[in-house]
Amino acid sequence: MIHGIKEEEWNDFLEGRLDEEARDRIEAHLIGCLYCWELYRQMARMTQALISAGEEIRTAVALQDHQLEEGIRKFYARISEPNAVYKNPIQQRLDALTAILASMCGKETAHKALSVAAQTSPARTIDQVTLDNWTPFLSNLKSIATVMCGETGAHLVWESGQL
Amino acid sequence: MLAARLTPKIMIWAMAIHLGLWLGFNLPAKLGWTENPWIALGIIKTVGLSLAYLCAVALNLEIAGEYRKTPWLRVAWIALAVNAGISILRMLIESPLINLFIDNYLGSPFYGLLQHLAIIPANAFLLVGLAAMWWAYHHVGLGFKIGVRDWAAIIGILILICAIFWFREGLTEANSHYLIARYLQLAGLCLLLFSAAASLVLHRMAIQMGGGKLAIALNFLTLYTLLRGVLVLAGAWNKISAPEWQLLHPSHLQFIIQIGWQTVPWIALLAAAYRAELTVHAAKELEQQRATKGDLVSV
Repeated sequence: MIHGIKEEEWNDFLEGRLDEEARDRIEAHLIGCLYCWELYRQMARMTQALISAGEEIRTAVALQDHQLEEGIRKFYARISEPNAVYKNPIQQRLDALTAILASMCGKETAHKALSVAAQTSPARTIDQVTLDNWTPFLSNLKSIATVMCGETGAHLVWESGQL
Repeated sequence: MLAARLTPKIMIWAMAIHLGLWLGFNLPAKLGWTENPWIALGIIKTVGLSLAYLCAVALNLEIAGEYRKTPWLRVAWIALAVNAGISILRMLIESPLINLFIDNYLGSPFYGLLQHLAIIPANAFLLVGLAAMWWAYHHVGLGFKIGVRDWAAIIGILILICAIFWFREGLTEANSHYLIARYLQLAGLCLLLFSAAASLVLHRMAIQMGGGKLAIALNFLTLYTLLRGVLVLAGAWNKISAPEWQLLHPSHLQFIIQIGWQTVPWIALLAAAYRAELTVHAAKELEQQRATKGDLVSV
């Protein structure tokens, strides 16, 4: 249970099966809690990816029931690993920004861009980036992304980095 | 967005169709099975390569629109668009179809003059584009460095320029009726080789990036510039080298050089297509993110 929300409640919330009262409670909590908002975003993305992948696989591969059960069991085992999902929200966001930049202008560029953005912000180093100095850091990163990836890429970095 | 339609995959297919058609008409004639189908080959070359450069112009301009706040990169992509635009004119000037209207056009010194009047500005804009791109990426401060090997390659290119001046008699316009055509060809080659040096620096940056679509685009730009240089030099070598120095029969080497020239415009287009694909993917991701946020707000 995280912040009073059970795992089953998360699942029902994502699948739209939660009763009105519980849904309102989770929504109200999400507005104020960055930690759970991040968790929600990741789970929503994962659920969407699973639905899409499921649809593709259903048409492409015919699985036996036991194979399907095995796959689902492994998937739940993986997502319930400690630290698998519940990482520091700043670190999560830095990882996400690194992945976005890496796909556009390379892994090395992504790491260098994050370091340079931190150096020229009040944080000074990437390890010192916190919620307090996040906005200037992100703004610097956006400027670098504008050169390396163009304006659309920079918008993506900016919006992905919004806390 | 045009880039969403002109994807690298489609461009590779288009290049394969173009080369397939060109070889399909050319090989039987080379093997002596058919007469030289020069009109068909002229149509394939002129239409196919002009189309490739036209797509490159459109994509390069679309990419330049991505850099409204980054003047150097805006200049770079506009210069590459102009390079592709002038190259369309060059394709028309080099079209064998003009032989239908002007007797022995391709063999006349006037053809050489016109060709180099187009090549000079095209190569100048290529050089401006590559240099502006290098300057912009260098100034972003991500620590891209030029290594000893790159300096060695650049020095090698400078030596090559000296060698071209020394062996200039091997160039196609060496004995041109128009004196200006002789100088234009030398100047065009120098511009191309300086572009090759700039593209090598961009290639080094691409390696240091550690992957990504931008690196692919930069590598294609390097290939576009280097391949053109290599083809010109191979042509000159074919003309001036002694028979005992030649590894291939001159007509075989000439055929390989011709295949090379058929791929050059597509490589320029692929560079633009990969860079444009970066924007297309970013736009899709952005749209998806906004939709996810919108869904939550509407819950």
